[in-house]
Amino acid sequence: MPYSDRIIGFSTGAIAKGDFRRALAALRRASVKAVELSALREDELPELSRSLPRLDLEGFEYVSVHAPSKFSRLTQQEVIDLLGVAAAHRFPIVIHPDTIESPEPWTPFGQLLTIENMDKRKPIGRTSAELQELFEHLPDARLCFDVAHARQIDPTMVESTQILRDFKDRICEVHASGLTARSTHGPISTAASFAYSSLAHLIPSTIPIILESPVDERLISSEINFAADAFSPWLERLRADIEDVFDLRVAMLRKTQVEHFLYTLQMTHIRLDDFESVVSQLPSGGAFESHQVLMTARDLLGMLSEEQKYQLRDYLHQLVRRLAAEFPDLKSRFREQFANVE
Amino acid sequence: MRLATERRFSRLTELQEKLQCKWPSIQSAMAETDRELAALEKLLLPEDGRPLVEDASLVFFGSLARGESTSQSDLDWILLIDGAVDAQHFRTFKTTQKRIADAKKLGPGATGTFGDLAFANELVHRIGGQDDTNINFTRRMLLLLESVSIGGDEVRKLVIRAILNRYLADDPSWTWDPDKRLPRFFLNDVIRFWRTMTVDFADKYHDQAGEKWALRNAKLRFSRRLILMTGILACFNWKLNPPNGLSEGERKSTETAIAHFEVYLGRPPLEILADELLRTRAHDDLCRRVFSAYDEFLGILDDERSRNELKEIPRDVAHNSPTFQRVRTVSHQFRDALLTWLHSPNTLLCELVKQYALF
Repeated sequence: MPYSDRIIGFSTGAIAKGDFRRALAALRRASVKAVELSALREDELPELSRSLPRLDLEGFEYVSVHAPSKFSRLTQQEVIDLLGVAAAHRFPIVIHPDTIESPEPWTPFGQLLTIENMDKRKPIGRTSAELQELFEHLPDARLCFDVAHARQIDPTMVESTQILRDFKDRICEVHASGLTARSTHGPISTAASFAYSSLAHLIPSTIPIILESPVDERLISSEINFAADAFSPWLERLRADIEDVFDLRVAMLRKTQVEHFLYTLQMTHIRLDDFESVVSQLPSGGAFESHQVLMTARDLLGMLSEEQKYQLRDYLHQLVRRLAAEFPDLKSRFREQFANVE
Repeated sequence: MRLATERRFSRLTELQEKLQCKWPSIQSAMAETDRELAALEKLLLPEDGRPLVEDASLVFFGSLARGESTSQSDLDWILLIDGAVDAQHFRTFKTTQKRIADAKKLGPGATGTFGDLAFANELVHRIGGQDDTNINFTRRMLLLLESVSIGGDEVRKLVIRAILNRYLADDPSWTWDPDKRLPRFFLNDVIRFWRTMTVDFADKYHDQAGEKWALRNAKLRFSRRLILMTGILACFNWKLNPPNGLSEGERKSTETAIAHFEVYLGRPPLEILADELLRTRAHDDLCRRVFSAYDEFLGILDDERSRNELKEIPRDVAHNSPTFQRVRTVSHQFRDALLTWLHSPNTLLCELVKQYALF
């Protein structure tokens, strides 16, 4: 599954606090494919549990349920009993680890039990080491990786990377949003998007992303598109790699840069209309910051959908045609490479 | 979300209507402020209204914050941070700096006070003493007396509250009995700030070989004096116009006082001044003199030729500059009208000035 086809959805709590029906209706109107039914406040759980068997969830490719973040009126066992309906539907159940009073009663949920990494307010489950302790008690449980929580714990994203590497086989879903130092959720900021994109390659393309950004119904699609760019930044990076060779803005070096690349293609008998071979020869790195994991142009190409590859091929050919017109001497010197370029 | 100009300046409009006069340069500066803020939002913020970065506010000071922008105004700004160490803050700062430079906006001065990252901890915890540098002091006072942000305003507001909390909670005379007192710690810092600005004016003349002397002098006479006034009035207001309808406990709580000062200072300085003049029933002619002088000052700053003249004339020939002489004359009108008001006999305002403004 290409990364660009990631399933991205919303938590009902982010769309309409305490009203999952209204949130579901809004998400359906926006053709959202994934939903997390939120019962973050324990008062919401009995109603959600009662309604679940009759709830119209058609159209959603992924559904999970978020358990309450605090048990005041309900006991742990009552919560587990109410969540049984979700388990019967095989919906993953996301829980905050600090609500687990004792692990044994949760074990029957097996792989449906999904432990979320916590923000800095919570005393456990924040780091990879703390999560490890939890998984020792609940060995079948999976991980809901909240990238905003992990970024709040460590803005360098080292802890996030560690969690994703240590528990890559346990990841069930990802939570994303903007999150302040005071733990207030907001839309994904430009800076958060940049931070998330640095580890997007560590999140398998099949893992659904659930947004917890509190947004108005009108902004659902915009937030999903923004998240899609953050978690699948490959097209933009490849575009930047292509521009570094074929559309260098430094006028003095413009011709030299492309000339060097054409020599490489000449030696390997690659023609400019052979898109994938040209891309595989591109020097990569210009689109990466110093701390990011460097991926080759060929790796990036493998992340794209057919539609994105088509877009990129078209873009490359457009730049090549422009270069042919700008430097006719190059066209005659590298006749083989420019074959079929009008 | 920012209020529209007419709502931010409702008392000023009321005063203008009461006096049946027009202050065209003030009106034009308000409109220019709205245009400039909208242009900056377009230039610096993501298109869909999402935040640039968490735990930060992009804060502007000076004429833009006072609602007095003219076509020639420079841009004093900081990226104010209140959160964990995050490389994204520096990255956002650099991007903002580049966009402002690329748009050929007039940048901040050479002191390093603006066009930089600023951190809440410094502003809140370093009040007074060796560590309260001139830059820190200036940023803190301007944050309280003339600041506005674009995009998320949460951090600016929280830092203002935290600073006010320091001024009130750490003031022994205030916490003893706020009902009967003035916030002396805060008032003293406001007055210190005015004195610092006047001393720095002399220092800049010395350091920068007299560059922009007349323009700085004009600003000292008007806009700097205006924010001194609003800072003092904010402190006096606790006595002049105590919050109504509160229980004794509420009146004595620091939270009530913080909320009071936050709302009071959240308005543009000219609006605060108009409000106090109306509230104390100042004489119409006095009000007219105050605002017509300020209006003329803004008119001079908005006129390219006059502003350039103020920028360029050296101090030793300033007496030959008709523009500077005009600024000087109207500044006396502004100062004298304010002094007459502050010293109005048999008023609580006059008593407060006598009791607190000097010692």
